[in-house]
Amino acid sequence: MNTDEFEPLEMWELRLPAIPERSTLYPLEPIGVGTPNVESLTSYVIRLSYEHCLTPSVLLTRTIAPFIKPGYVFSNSRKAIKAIWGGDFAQTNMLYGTRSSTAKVTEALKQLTRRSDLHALTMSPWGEVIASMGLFRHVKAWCPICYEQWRSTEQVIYEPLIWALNSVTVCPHHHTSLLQKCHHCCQTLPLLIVNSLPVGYCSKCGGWLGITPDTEAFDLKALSASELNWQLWGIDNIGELLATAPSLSSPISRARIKEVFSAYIIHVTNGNVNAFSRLIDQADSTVHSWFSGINVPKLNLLLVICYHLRTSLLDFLTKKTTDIDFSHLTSAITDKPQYKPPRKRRRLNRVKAQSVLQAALHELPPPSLKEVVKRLNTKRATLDYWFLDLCRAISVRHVEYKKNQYLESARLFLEAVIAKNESPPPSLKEVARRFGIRSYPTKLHSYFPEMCNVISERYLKYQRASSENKKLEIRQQVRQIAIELHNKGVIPSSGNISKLMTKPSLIIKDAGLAELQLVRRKLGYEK
Amino acid sequence: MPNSYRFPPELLAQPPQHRLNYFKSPDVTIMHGSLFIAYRKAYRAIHEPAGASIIMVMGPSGVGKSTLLRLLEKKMLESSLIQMETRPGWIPIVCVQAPAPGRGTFRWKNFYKIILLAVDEPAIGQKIHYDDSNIHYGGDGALRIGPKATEDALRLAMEKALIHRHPYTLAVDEFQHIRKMAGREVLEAHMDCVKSAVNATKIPWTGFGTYQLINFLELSPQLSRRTKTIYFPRYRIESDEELKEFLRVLEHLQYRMPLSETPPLKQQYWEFCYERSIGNVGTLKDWLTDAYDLALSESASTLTLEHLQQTAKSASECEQMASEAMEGEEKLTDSFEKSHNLRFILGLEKNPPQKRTKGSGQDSDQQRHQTRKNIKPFKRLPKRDSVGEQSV
Repeated sequence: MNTDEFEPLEMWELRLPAIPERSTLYPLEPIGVGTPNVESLTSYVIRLSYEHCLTPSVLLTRTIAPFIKPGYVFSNSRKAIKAIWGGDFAQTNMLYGTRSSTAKVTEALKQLTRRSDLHALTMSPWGEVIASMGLFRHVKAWCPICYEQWRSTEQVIYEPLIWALNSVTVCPHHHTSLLQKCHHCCQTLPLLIVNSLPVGYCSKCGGWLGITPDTEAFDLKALSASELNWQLWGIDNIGELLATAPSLSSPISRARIKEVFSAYIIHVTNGNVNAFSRLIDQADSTVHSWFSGINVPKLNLLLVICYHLRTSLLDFLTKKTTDIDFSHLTSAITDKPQYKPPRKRRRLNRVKAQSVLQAALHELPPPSLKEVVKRLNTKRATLDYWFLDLCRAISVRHVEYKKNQYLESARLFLEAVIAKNESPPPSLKEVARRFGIRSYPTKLHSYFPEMCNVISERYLKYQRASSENKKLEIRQQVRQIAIELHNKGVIPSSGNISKLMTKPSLIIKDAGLAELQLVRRKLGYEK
Repeated sequence: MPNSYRFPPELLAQPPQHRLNYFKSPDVTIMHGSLFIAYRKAYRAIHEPAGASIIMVMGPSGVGKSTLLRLLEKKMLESSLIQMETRPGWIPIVCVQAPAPGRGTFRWKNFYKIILLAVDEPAIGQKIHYDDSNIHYGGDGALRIGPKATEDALRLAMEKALIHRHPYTLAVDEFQHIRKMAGREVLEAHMDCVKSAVNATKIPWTGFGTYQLINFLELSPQLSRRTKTIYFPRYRIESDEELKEFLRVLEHLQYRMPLSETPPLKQQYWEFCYERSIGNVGTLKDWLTDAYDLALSESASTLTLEHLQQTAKSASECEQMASEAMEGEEKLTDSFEKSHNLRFILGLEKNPPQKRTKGSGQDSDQQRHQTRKNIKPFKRLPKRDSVGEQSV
């Protein structure tokens, strides 16, 4: 054909190059890293599982757990999850917490998502310098206004880490106290839930936890001005701490406590530990234990100390001791504090205590012993030691009162349900769940037998009626179709009829078969 | 002549399997003209879709579309290696193959599963769809989670996977399987499905398929507006250039065969080679591999016409392939006609288009034989009077 010079063609390789490994889970961006509103790790895990369209328990057992305990096969049940995380409250602090198990979970997530900033979602960077006891609340707390705001502006709904700390009882943005009880079912919620509901929903009744601020039903405990100021000062400091967590290369070591205390003691009181402890309003023995490295101060106390020393919490924990300016302290000793931090307990005045206890016995509504203890600013053990009978009487009264209140609210609830008479009527279990009882409503039944019976009967009647209806429908269908087929000349067998039914398998039901027999006999196909 | 493209001479001493593997070399491809053009077009289209939701790469079966896909995948991965180090969650391109439906219409659920597997998604069988109806408290008070791994759940999971992994595109081979056994309405529904997936994830799809894909475009103008088509045609004998390229490929292949005597494919057998491969390089290569294998088994010193004839596809098969290809090409040239029609409708063209019968002549012939429809009386055809040097 043509006699041109042959120009060879290029040959290209098709083999794929080796690519760096991709992350198993999506590297979801945690919210608020580097700010005081940083997300907590549990909220992150729940959001991550949503993005993968999995329930959080599946995500935990299938992807995270194999990292922590390699080689085990985990089932999906609650029991298995407890086995991994530990069930009691001390260990459920894990996902926020300061123990080594948090480190394992964070490490696992770090490997799975290839994100290196996840340690900022926990308190583990401060684990060695802040005591883990009393750091976190045992129950969940949240600000309903924040939730509602996020939902209405279509922002991502999450749980800030700061809400989980015991020392924080006020929302940093709205200055209203955090709620601890769901306003639908009045239950407290545990910290760590591997429920499948998204962030912002009550795990016991499924209700939305947000409230618009002008709702009438909303009733927040009002705070006194000094309390509020103290909280805000504390929140500022803690927020600062949380915001600098991502920039820390490693957790602060325990030696820091000793170091910083020594620096202060030397400069301010010339090495006199006891004078120093008086200055910061703590017991001598406590300060000695910190100083020698046996104990680590709790967060509340740390805040108090920082307050007295006119320094911020972050500076206290991280600033170089050589940079600290001690000069302002000596002059500030005589200044009266702007707002009083919570006071230590003082010696008990026994006469006064007795009169207060007696008064409490007659008070209405009966106060709890805890409340009385707080009023007297003492320890419960002290009161028990001196006035055991009185204390017992007070607590018994209180418990009975609470019980009556609960029963009363239950009664009102049941009455409302009965009066509402909804259709289809709910079962007793459903009613109990709505009220907040998660397991069998036997107690409810024992207290209000008549009302529970009414509810159950309605439900049962409805079930029976609907099953009767279904049977009737099946019969009608079978009869109709059989007659049609017969008119067309086709044998009405069960196979033929079932094909024409709306739900073919229904013909197997007793009603269907019985009706079929009947019709066939009528039409003459059987004897 | 330089010998770099030729086989290394020591291969002749090696066992036949090695020689066959050398020629077969599944991991290497010849970059011939139309493959190169299609590759460049596709690469550019993927990196800059310019608003297109779907990029369609069409060509006759056997031309090398799957090879093109592999090539694209490799090149995209190579150029993204550095970025992948810094972004561990990113996948540059996701390549899947649309499963053939077997019996009935296309199964989307399977397809979603395939995509999820391609991105290494964990726990596919446990996917749930997060909305009110799926997670709720049932009538008896227990928390009920709906059925897992339903089609909706897998679809949502696929969308989320694409959103988070954010590839340049989702490349689907054998795209024409979506069309299997689908009437017009069902086909529209399928394409709507694709469109909504693209809208939700903002990731364009790239479909590789045969000329049957043209039917998709004819479905709705809305769809074809968001579609970019890339044609990967065979080499046609009508065009001198294309034939020259085909012969070049043939010559290259003949030199690549490890035989003691180079077979005169280009010089003597080219017509037969063209006849039984209808200009598709893919078909040609497979056929030559088969023939070479036969020659090796006979320990022949060269490839003869008999080898070619024994391993060639039958004439009726090739006829079918050819007519399929030509039908597709016909539709393409039909679309050029439609462009002429469009210009006429829009007023850009004075001359109305002719009704074209199959195999008729060039456009210039038509113009000479046109009927003038929209001419008012007493108006002369503008071209009729000579202006300057022009004369009709």
